Amino acid sequence: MRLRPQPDDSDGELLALVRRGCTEALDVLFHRHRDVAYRVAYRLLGREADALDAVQEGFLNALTHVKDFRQHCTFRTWLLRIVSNASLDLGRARSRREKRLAPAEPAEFESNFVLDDELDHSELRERLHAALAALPAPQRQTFVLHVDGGLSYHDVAEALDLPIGTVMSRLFYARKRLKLLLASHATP
Amino acid sequence: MNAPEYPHRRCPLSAYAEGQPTPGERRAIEPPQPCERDWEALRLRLSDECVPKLPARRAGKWPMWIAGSLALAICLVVAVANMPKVPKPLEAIAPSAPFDPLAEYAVLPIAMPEDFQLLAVREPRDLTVLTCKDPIGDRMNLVASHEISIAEAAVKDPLWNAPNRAPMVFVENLDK
Repeated sequence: MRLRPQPDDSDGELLALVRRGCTEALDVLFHRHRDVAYRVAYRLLGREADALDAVQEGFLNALTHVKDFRQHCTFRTWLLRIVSNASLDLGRARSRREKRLAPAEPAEFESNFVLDDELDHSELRERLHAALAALPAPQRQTFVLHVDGGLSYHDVAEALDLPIGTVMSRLFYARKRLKLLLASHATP
Repeated sequence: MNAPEYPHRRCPLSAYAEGQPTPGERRAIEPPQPCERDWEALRLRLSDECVPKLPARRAGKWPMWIAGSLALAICLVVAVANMPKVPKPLEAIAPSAPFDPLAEYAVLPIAMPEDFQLLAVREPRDLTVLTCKDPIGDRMNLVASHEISIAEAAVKDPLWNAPNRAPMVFVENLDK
């Protein structure tokens, strides 16, 4: 019985090794999926430190409950579901905390946004985050899993345990609203 | 501030909103990447937190299973060795009976020539009377005239003179 992971091992093979306590397999899995997990978490939270917390929470939950993974979907789909749920939970906890500390103010967009090569990426990210934050949580989660997580409609439906029609509907309304929110600031 | 014109490019945000940003557009809005030190700290935390909780620790129970199986096997061997030996029951050997086509029929008693003695007949030429129907359906002579002894018998019945009526008198075999 093999106890060391190979670089081209599938996620299923790595998980089998992880179940037998192989830390190297866990490292390979972590390196393989950390970036996409972080991207999804960041889009849902908008802050690097919070996104890292969500990634950690997601990996911890996924790996300590690895026996519950029934392989009806890919490990990535399963992991992104957990990470996105952890992100939404962290986001809700954070906003409750911030509300206690200071009264919330509506996010403001700059009205004179211009597209420029020199435009700071961080500014773009902030505006994108503000627009995403204006979406209802289910639409935001669905949209981010599809666009940033790279999941197909079918995979998103499996990840969120939704009918594929609901996923398509959520994506349609999320796109429509985002275009409206971002277009109004993309032109002066 | 006037917006510069970029007819050959989309706004990265609009591209994102449409859901299909190109790699270049995606790069423009890419989240800030954590440094490797942060990733490494996270990886170590995961190893510390996850690996001790993994069910793989059950691998340490293998020696217990092996020892248990070995003890059970030894007990079985000892028990089998101490069992009283019971002789094998002899198998009954069925005799190979010849095929009997009349097995389903009742066996008819067949009289042998010595069982009978014909005492007297008027016309010995017609003496083909000791017959019966065999189970197969054919007529079978039980005795022939040379196999029986004929003696003089007093014939009183007038029917005996009728043609095709062979007068016969059967008595028990007197020689027995």
